[in-house]
Amino acid sequence: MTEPGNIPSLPEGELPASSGAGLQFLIWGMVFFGVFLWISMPTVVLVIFGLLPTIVAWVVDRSEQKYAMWCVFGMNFSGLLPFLMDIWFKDHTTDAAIAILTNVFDLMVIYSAAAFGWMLYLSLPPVITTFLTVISDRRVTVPKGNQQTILEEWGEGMIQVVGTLDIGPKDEDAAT
Amino acid sequence: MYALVCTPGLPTRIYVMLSVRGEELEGLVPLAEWDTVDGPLLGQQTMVLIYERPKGGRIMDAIESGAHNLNEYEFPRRIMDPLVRAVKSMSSVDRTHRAIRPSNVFFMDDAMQMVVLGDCATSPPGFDQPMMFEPIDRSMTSPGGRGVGTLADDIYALGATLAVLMLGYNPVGRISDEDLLTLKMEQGSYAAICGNARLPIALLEPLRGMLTDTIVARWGLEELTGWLEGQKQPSLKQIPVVRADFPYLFEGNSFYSPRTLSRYLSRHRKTAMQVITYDNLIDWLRKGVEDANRADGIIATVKTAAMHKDEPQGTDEFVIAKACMVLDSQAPIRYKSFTFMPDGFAAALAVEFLHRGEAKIPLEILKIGLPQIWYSLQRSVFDSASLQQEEYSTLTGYLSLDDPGFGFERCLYESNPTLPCQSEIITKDYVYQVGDLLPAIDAASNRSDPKTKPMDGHIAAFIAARFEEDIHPHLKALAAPVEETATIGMLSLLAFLQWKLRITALYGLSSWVGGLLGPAINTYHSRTTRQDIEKEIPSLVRKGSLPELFDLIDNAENRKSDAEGFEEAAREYAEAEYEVREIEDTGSERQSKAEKKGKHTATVISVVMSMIVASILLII
Repeated sequence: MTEPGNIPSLPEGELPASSGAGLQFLIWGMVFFGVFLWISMPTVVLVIFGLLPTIVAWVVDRSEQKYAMWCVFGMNFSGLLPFLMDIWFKDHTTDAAIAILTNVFDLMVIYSAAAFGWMLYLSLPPVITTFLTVISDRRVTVPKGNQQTILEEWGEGMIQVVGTLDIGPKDEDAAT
Repeated sequence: MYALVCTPGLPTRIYVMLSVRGEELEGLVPLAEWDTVDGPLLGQQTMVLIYERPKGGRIMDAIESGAHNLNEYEFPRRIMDPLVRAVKSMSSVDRTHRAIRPSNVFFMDDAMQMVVLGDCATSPPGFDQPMMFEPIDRSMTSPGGRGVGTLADDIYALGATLAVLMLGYNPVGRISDEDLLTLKMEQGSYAAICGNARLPIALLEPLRGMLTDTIVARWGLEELTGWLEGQKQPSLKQIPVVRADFPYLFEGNSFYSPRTLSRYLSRHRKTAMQVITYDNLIDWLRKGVEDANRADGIIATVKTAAMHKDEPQGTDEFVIAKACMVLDSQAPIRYKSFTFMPDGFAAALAVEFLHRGEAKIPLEILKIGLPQIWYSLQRSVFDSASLQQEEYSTLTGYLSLDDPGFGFERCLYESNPTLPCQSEIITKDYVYQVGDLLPAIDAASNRSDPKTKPMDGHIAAFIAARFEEDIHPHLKALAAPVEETATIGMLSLLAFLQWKLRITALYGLSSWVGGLLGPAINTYHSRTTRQDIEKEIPSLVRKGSLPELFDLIDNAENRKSDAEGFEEAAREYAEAEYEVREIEDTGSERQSKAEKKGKHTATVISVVMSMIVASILLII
């Protein structure tokens, strides 16, 4: 029996599967990173610093689908791609990459694009919500109109009678 | 002819009127007609009896004025015989007169040859009788509670009347009623009334026979007729008055008989308990009166009261009433200030209510079952005892319910079958028959507040007591705690009455009831139906038809279709509600769904835009 307060130790040679997979992922990541660094040092530098807003969005967005990251990434990448193409097709040097990254206007283009992506992420859901609300409000008018007609004919007592019936989902927000 | 106008505050004896009207009964002033008429002086309808006028006037007036003198030889034939015939006439129609006294004896003709007895129907039995003309037991009650009595009571009154008529004066006129009663109790009625009077010897025998206090020994019609025909009558059994060897002393009085002590205790209730709970009384009853039964009865009364300490049967008033019955079982029931003979409860109750406007004490008596105790203490069984007990049980049953049509009012009308309805709405109309009720309410509609109902406890009880049809369902609806149901109950009862009694149009009442139907109409769920009914009411009011009004308000088909329609509408409403809820869903869920959709859309737009940008850049 384990005494209270004593944490049982794992048997020797048995490590959690997740920590093994993480290690494996880390090793493979470092290998690929090294290879990319060896093949195209300027691209890697530009991508790492250019996609910083995406990396931040990836860290900040705790959701499973990572909508914020993808939204910021799409626009961030669009802003970065012209400079990447300059590196790839004009001056493929680390100095050129650093020059881009130290140019305020270039950085402004890259990060503004990312900011637009973030803005898109923030502004679109309320618009969609409002739109859907308007649609549902229009749909609810007919049954509510019918209810009003019934109440006018049969009186407010109807509500009490119907209240005793099980008529499906109830809007808790409305109730409160 | 002459008319007697009844006091509206007194119940009349309509059954007696029905029995004697138009009949030529020997020895009685013929009653030509009776009815209710408008009494301007009284400001209300009242009962009036029309009699043939006795032309010779009152016999006492003639004697006192000296216009009429009779010797002892003529007296039996000219005075006694017609009066005995009068009593016989009443007996032949199964009624008692109960108003035989000198002032109610008349000469029917100018020649003063025909002696008759006057009215006896304008007041409760024995109500106007001086104590002298009532037997000991009945003279102890209040005037309203003297009871219908029997032939024996009429013969007793006849005996006392004959004594006065023979003498031409009242031999005990100078003695107070109370002293006379004490004398009667201690010496017997004959000795008390005739003891010191110079009556002809020939008349002593019938007077003794008529005034004996023992009912079984008292002369009947047979003996009187036989005596008048000259036949010798069997000698009267002398039953001595119960008298103790030594007196019971209390508050400076000496009581020689339980009867006088009982009378004193019933009239001195504040100190009565001192006597009842004191052992001296038991000793006196055992040793002085030599009646162990009475002593045991007193002990049992006190012990039973101790067991019911917190109940009405444990109160001093109850103990006093019961102890007085034990001491004098023939005496009337005496509870608090209310005294009555058991066969006089109905009239006593009516008089009490008509005079005081309430009848708390009589109802208390019913609740605590004093009449039943009185019957259980009787040493001899009389004919109508079981019937009277049944009536008391029925009244107690009515009293136990408070609903309209029951309670005190029902007791009042059940026990007094000819008492007019005492509802404030129609009290001035002297309605004593159920057939006159609706027309009276109809007439009262003009002077009544239209917001009040044309129905109260008195009217409901009056209908329940007088209407022969079964009205229990109507009364049940009338008693409903819900106003709407009670209103429909009222309308149904009135409509049933109009329909069954074939009463013609009641415009005022229809209008009155029509104005009160708001709550009843509102029992319909459908607004359209309600509007239709409201539109229809005025036309039915103009017809004066309560049954049609009721049919409109409580039509079974309308009710059914309204209920079905309501059910259907409720279902439709519920379905619409379900649809609404489904559309609206829950607020937070809809929000999160829309937010998710928005984020998804933003992502797609962003990715698509990046791909477009990449494509354009690659193409350029």
